[in-house]
Amino acid sequence: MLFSSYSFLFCFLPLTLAAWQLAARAAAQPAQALGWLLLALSLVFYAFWGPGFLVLLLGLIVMNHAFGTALAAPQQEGAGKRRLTRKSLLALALACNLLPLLWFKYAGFLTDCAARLCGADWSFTPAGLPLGISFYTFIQIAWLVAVYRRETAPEGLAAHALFTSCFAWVISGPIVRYGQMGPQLGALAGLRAENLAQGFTLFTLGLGKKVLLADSIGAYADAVFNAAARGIWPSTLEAWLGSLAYTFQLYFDFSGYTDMALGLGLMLGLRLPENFASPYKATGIVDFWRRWHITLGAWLRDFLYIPLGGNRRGRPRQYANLFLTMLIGGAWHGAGWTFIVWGALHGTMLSVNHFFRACTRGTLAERLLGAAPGRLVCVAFTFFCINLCWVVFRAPNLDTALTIYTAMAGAGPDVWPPLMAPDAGAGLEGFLARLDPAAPGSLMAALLPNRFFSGWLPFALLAVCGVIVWCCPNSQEVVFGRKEGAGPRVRWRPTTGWAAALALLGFAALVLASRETVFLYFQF
Amino acid sequence: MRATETQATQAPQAAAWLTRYFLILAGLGLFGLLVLAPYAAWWLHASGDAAVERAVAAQGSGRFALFGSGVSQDFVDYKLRLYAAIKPDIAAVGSSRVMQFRGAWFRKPFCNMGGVAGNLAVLRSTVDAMLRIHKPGAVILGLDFWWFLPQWEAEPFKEVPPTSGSYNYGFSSLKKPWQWLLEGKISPRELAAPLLGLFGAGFREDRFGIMAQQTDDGFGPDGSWYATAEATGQKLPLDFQFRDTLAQVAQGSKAFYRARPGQDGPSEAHLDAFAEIWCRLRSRGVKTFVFIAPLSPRVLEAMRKTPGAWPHLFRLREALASRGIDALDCTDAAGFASGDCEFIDGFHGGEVSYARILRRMADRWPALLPYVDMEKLDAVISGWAGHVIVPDSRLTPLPETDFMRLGCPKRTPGDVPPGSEAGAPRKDRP
Repeated sequence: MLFSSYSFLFCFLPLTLAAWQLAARAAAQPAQALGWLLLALSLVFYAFWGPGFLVLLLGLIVMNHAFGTALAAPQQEGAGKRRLTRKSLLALALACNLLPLLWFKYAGFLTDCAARLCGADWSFTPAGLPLGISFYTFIQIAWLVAVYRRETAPEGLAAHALFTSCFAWVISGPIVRYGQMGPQLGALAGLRAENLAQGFTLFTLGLGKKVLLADSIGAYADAVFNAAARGIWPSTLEAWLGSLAYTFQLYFDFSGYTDMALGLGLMLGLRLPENFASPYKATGIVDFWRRWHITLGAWLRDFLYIPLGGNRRGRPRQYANLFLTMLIGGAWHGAGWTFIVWGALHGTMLSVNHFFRACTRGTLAERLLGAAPGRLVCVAFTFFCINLCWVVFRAPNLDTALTIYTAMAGAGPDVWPPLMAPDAGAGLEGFLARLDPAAPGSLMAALLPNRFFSGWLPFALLAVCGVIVWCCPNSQEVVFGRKEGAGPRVRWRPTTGWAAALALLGFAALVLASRETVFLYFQF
Repeated sequence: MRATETQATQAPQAAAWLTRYFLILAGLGLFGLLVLAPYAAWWLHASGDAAVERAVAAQGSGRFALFGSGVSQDFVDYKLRLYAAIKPDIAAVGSSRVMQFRGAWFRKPFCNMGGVAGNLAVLRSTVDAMLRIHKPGAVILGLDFWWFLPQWEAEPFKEVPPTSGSYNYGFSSLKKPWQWLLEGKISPRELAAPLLGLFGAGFREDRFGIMAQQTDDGFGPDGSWYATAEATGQKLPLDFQFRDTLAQVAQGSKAFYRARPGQDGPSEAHLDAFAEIWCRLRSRGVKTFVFIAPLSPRVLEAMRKTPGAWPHLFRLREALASRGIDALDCTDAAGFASGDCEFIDGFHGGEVSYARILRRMADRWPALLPYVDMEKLDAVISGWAGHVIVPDSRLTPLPETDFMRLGCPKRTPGDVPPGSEAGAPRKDRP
């Protein structure tokens, strides 16, 4: 059940809200009853993906709760060995969490790598990838470490199960911490109109982003990347447009999912952590990672970068730590060299960005870059770098990525078109004939020879995406206002205009919601 | 105190807003049901996507009409209806690899039932369904070698419904036009075509289905398939330079599963199953001609590097012969003077390639001669060697292109025939 599927929208969600209200009114202890209800609904939701996956999730929950209880045992004074035991226990718990992830997600890839190294004909295909395993594994690791650090104490098994498996975040994040969600899950209450209104607003915006923008623009990205994977060279313009299409597809897919997750949480009175804050408005890669998949960035920082030493051991070590952290972050997204290369690219860019910041701190260059024109240049350059990195992230293999990069660089075969179409005629008619992609020999036909982008629609979609990304506030700002307290020009209000606009958006999305697509982050 | 007051004033506002939101949403839903859905139904009818009956009626009447639906790619039901309308003297049956036999090459009514059999169990049920409708004088059976591998189909004697792929026009079909518009598959003008049709500028009458309307892709009046979009360069080939097929060969995936250790030929059970189908036809007096469908030379060359992986192909002809079935082995296209330039993809020959196969079958089996128009076959073979489609002004004015970029010389109608080099790619291009 995807959040954008009819089964979820017309069955699961209405039933959830109805059951929620009934339970809140009927129960003597609403918080407790709602907790049980949410757990039951979450397990049903997860079971739709496959009962086997649910068994694995439940097994890991029970295992981690047992580890957490053992880690929370009071420490005896003067028992030096006891501390060592707790540390070992944590190491064992982490290993037990990472093993299923390694097995299901990386065993095939590692076997393939080993086979290539040894020149052997080995192959291994694990029995499916349990959905959300990357997310719930990270959620549980964060919880175990928090218990170990005595920042949190384990509650009952049911509470832990609810925290881990809540349907709003179990499949695709955000990677929540117990400190953020535990208190909220312990104080669940009945539906509130304000929460529902804001929740439906966020959910509708997310659904619209996913269905109308991400899925639509994604078809063009698929056309270019799939053709390149089959050995068909895109032209330079097609390669750039294809990479841009994927860059926007991923943005609206992830942003849409996040909005829907946050909206669902809000409907039930849960405030999920922010996970997406206009990342393409970032003025540098450091800034980008504070805006893109915020909870993953924070997890990597807290559980990889800082334990590796962070910036406490000098700059060279800091840059090495950044690189390693992003390399692992890249591998977390998928078992393949493309993701590792993507992580390495981001690790390198982060290091360079930190180095540049350190070099320019307090100088004229910093002041110039901080001014509006300088910021604009930084945003454009950051976007350019991110766009280039998404190519290798999207490509099914390194060969395909190389094909796209080569075409983008204008170095592929037949990528430079003639500047003027022959015999197109003079005047307006001649000019229009040159722009007609259907006319053989026209300039547009030469620039876009493979018909990946025909008609005005792909260009209109790209333009709409660009306007929303750079000229509009993000959904969180629209609904809750800006962090600094200022209200953006486009701000949600309980007005008829907003009701009509959102209903129209929701209707268009609902009509088209059944296309066979998945959320991109499900596969990571 | 102030927060409580704010909440107290906000709650009714939010509740009222929610009411408005859902009322407007419900209103739009009603608009969708009363306006958008009926228009979509009209559009599907006008475009011919939901008009399988009209398509069959037009094709059965002898008009050159194409049926290429975008709503559904399941066409068993359509083929059986067409078969009933034509009541052919001779039919070609098999997978998509027999869909290139054209009715124009036969002297007697012909129906191409290609695409209706994906394995032996379905082949049996389809043949039974055909015989219940009408008994032809002759049948050409095209075999796919992967049918004889247990990994493809575990139970070759299993009874399956004959029309598992019937056309089903449900609620989701009504969303298709709007979906296609958003995906850029149809233009606003095409969406408005039923309205424009009122002024004489709508869809073409002899095209049924959006594929047929847009690119002249679809089934012709004889049930054969016209791959116009790829051949004329309107659409990129799915198997560009046979890479996809060659990858399947290299990986042993999809139809190119490799035999398991110990499998040294076609499965005995599967051979028995085919022999039983063959006997069913023969015992009813239907002349049955069997051929093993061809592979492009590049693909066959790749497979020959590890012949032990595909014994169910390389020993199929002799295994059939041991059961008394005389089959023409067309696996090697070079054996009947065809080449990569005559292939749509790695394992689908084009129109000229199949003309060559039919010519060879007629040479080998005199019983087929009364059905075949040899002069037309010879004209196709000599005039359009190296091509995938034979130009037909009723189909498209667009010429065939070197759509696979193999360096294949193609010509436009009216050009001097290129001669003997046409069957193979030029060597001087990548």
